[in-house]
Amino acid sequence: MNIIIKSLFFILGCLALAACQSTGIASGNSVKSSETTREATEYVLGSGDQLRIIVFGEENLSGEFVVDSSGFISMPLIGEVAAGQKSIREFQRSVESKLLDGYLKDPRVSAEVLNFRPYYILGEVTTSGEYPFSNGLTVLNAVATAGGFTYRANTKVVYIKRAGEQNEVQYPLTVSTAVQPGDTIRVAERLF
Amino acid sequence: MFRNLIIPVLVITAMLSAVPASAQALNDSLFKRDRNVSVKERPKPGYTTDGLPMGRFRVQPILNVQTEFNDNIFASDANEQSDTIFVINPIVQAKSDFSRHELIFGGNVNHREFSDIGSESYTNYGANIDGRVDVKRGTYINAGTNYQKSHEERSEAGFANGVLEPIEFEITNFYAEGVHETGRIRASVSGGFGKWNYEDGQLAGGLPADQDFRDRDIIDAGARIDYAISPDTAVFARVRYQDQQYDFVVPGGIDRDQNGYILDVGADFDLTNLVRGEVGVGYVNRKFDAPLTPDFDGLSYTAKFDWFATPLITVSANGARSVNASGLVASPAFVDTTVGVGADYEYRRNVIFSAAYQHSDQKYRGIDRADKRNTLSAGATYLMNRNVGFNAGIVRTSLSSDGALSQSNFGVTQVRIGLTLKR
Repeated sequence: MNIIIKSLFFILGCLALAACQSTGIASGNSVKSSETTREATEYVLGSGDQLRIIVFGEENLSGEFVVDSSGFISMPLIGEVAAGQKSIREFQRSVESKLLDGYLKDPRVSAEVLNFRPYYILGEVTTSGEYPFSNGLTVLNAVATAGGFTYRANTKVVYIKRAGEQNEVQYPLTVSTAVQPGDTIRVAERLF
Repeated sequence: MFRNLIIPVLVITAMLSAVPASAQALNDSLFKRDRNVSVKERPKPGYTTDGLPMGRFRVQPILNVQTEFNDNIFASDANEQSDTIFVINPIVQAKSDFSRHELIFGGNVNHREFSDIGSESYTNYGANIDGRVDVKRGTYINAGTNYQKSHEERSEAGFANGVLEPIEFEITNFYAEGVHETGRIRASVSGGFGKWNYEDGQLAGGLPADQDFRDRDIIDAGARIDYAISPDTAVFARVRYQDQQYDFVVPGGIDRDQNGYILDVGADFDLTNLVRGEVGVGYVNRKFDAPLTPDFDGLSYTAKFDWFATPLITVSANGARSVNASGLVASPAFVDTTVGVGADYEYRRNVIFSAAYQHSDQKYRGIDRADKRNTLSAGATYLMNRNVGFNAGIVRTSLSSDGALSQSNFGVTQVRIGLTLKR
């Protein structure tokens, strides 16, 4: 009889193991855990962002530009300007310094992001997919955009992989957990 | 053969469709109790099938195959014999997809093949027809009939001692229920007729074991009125009547004909996202035709709760006190007090673990016998995809019987593993 009961527990264990394999959600060694909350920081440009750049008084140098896959913007006269991993202010300064280098005497450059690169959300949300980023977006906003949590969602933590990084990081899910453009947000399953 | 069945189905469908239009149950009903969904009730879109379309019906075939180990197949304390049982259980159901009314046809076969003790093997089968006629908005009639050929488990209270093979019996039922709902009030009346017929068994040495003394007709009737005091709570008053007439009195035995009623009031509710349930308390009365069997009256209660501890864990509890027919020659009925608890845990969408415990106190009328039955079970279900599922489980059943006419005590453990295929 004991053998049978042990066999049954073995079978139940196998069923549980099979269930773990069947969920299809990546987890494990690519996940890092962060105890700190993820607050909104100054926006950093990246590939896919569409910018409007105005050089005051120089209509031929102004216009709408897209950050290419290498993180550069190609502008008239001065050619390629690095934009990736720079804030808007840093980018404005670098355009101004390039124009100062023999092209204009006192260039005044302003830049704004017209279209942010999208973020992605998947896992235990009603409608996973790609959504446009907006300034000040939090994870809860992103979940609401994706139709809300499913009944199995883990609402305590969230996993976020930033654009260009290899690993996703676990963050505590609070009302202020911020989303950056290009983020891949994964809402995991709860266990209980 | 199935084609022969479809033609009358279509005729009945056409008849039902002729009923004047105006829709079924109310969509804004105050008696819906769908705020919470238990683990087992929750739809599983990736793991359910729609069945096969066939005219105005969807046909769902299911095949259950199971291997079971039973450590005491005769439910005996002196002669414990174990065996492995192979079970094959095909089921088919055809359900209409009419916009109004509903018609369901079902059939099932359940064959249990004992590997060592072949005389215990048997095949059960049955069929049912159920329908709903939507008379007008908020008013409908449910009616149906079913037939089931079964074999009595040796652990049953009335099982005939010494028979070589399980006793075969058949049950035929007819029922109808009318429901009318308007605003805060819902009223229903119901009635049913059941016929129980036992086949004779065989004793050692070829002697027959006459079982006709258990044949009986049962008439049920009931009425219930609910009043919704809010969208999630309703109070009700209910009366249920039952009359049982045995085909004959065993020479030297007692007349076991009986009738009685239960009158109770209660409430059903679905409060917040935590609790759903129904509670009824009242009075039960049962009169026996046998002059020496004392009538019974007293407190009646039913209770059923679902506690949604989290969306993934449902804890259930139930309790009831009722009077049931015994199937014994010397006693017409027993008073049954049952309590039970259970829990279901959705580990993954496709993996559910379950555990349950039930205890029954059964006090027999007119004889010195009191039974205590305990059932403890645990199991798991794994749904591989829409068409394939696995299950495994263990059930421990025990009986402790006291009194001058007690049954032998026993404990039975069943361990099973099964496969379900469906379309």
